[in-house]
Amino acid sequence: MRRRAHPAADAALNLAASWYVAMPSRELGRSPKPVTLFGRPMVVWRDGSGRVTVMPRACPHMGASLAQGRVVGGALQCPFHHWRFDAGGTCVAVPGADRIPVRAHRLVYPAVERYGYIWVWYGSAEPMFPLPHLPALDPAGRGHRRFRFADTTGATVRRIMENTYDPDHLVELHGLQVAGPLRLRLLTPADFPAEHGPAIPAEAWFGAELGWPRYSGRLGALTRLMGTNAAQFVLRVDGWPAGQRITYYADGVPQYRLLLAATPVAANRTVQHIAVAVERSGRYWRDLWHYLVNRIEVTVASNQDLPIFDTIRPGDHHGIYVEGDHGVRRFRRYYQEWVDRAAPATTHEPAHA
Amino acid sequence: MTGARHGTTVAGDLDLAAGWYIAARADTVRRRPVPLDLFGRQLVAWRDGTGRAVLMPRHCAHLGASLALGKVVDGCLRCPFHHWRYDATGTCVDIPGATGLTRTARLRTYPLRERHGYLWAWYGGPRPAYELPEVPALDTPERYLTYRFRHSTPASPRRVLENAFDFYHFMTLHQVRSREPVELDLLDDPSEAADNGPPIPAEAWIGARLRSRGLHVPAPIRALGLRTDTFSLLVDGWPGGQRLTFYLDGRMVAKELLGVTPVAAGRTVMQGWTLVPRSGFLPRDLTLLLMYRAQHWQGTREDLAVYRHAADVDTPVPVRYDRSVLRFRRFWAGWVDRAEATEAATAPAGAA
Repeated sequence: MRRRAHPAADAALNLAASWYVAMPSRELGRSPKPVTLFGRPMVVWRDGSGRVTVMPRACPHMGASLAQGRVVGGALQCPFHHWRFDAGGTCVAVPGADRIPVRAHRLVYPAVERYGYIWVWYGSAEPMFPLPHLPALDPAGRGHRRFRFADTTGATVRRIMENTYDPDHLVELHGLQVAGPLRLRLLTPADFPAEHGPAIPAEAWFGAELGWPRYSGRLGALTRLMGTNAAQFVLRVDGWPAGQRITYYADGVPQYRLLLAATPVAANRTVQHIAVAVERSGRYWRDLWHYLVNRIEVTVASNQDLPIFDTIRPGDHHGIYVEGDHGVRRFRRYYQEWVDRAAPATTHEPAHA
Repeated sequence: MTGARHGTTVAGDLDLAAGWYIAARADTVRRRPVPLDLFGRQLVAWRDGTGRAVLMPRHCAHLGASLALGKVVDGCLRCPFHHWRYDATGTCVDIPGATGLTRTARLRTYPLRERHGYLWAWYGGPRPAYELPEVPALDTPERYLTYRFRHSTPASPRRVLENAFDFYHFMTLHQVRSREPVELDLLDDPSEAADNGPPIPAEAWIGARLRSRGLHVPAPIRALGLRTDTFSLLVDGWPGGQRLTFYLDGRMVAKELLGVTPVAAGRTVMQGWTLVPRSGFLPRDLTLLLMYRAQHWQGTREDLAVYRHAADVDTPVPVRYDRSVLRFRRFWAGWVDRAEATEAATAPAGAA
């Protein structure tokens, strides 16, 4: 069975070949769910065994929405003429027909369910690299206390992802007051300790370290009060084109792990997903306190970005760059390489040969 | 990367003439910057430390954040994202944390005038080809009863402004009845419109006088002593606005300033002032004002209904009485060409 590429998304999305969040797992029950991804109508559904399928929403027959259908015998049944599609997109039943037309088969998108999200691959028929791991977010793990949230923004995927590599905005927008300069160092995979997470294939990898000395001003007084003001803070970030793993250290001790991911809905419409696992030490009250403090801090900081994202100039563009932008520039270059890797627009009907 | 689609090219679809346009009511721009959609572009309006209004592209030249979320600090507009600051000339005067600037970031600003309660913006390059025309009547508002009007329409600015030169539609659409048909004479010289105000530079000017004899005046108006025989309208203007004076039997009964706001392709706001002179007898003036306002409202409603569904036909099938509309369109097209030439040479943002 030869698989053809999915049609490319509208150039206005400027989408990199990558893993994206299709939707949080808990939003998908037994009935199929309509979603818009890459600017296109899609349907997400589970077969009898719980396996997830992401595919175009319109039935190839008369275009009815498969999201109105039902899962019958492990196959998605169209509400209109009861055509059925299995988890691989193969049309397995056409009532009243002697044989199933070749063009009835649907092209499914590679999908994986992990860390409470349904992930979908965009850019080629088969993923170019496996979905990276973030063990701290494993729901079965006991070493962390977790929280997550999602916000729909008016920004592009690139805009959301490059923000981590923009140290200046921490000071100006988020009002970070530190007793020394903020440093951003772009790193190589070898610079990362194994405890940060299993390796991501080097060509798909981008990472950096952001460091600053202790907090000053009101923020410093607050962090001292909370017992968390250390002499050196480090954010270690690595990831793939549309996702990031961030570990936050105070004096070399990990405080929390953060996953940043995105759902590209349409042009200038992207859902930002953040999932955080706060380290546990075993001391209950201390851990609860840390969890609350970090949860508030992460949520507040993320909320400060949202108004900027919602009103930013539409599309991805170059700007006027200053020294502080070297991380953003390097990330943009890396991201655009992965935009170029996504299969070019294909106009033919998706089909199995 | 799609940098070229921002700014200059979008307004091209508007077929907009170079000229002075109403950007906003002046009282809508106060201490905080406000986002403004104008000329098919996303702009921001704000006031510097001296209260002077500034109009410039909405997105920061750095990473594109909306300056409408920013704050005016020390007379400069500060971006919320990285605190870059722009002065009233659009020049970036402060970039926190940056040392040894090799170039200066700059956003274009639109020439702006604040007059008669409106902010007027020049479209068509960085320098106005002429000053904003004057409407002296609005400088002595105590001599008039006044009101402001504002209507939004999908029609193009050209259609809104050419309407006064389409005398035939007064009889058909607005059903003006008179013994003799309405006539329109295009004026030859700006000084012929002295009743409207000081002359507008000839190349930016077009004017006409409409006349009708044996006007059928409704009974309620006749009862006010307006046994009128002739009605005339003196209209003149520039691409972007018009001054109008209405006469009955040679006596001025009302004045109007009509400005247009080209929001985007398919969205235009027409707004301005209506003035009725005070005679010293308030009941009469008030009645006249109400009458005038009613017919103005009714007429505008009829026009807007047509605008709503009208296709913009570039090459209409002309008949004899369309001469003046076609003249207006040629006048307009000349200033569209000027706008395209001057705007193409004006970068929305860049290094200076």
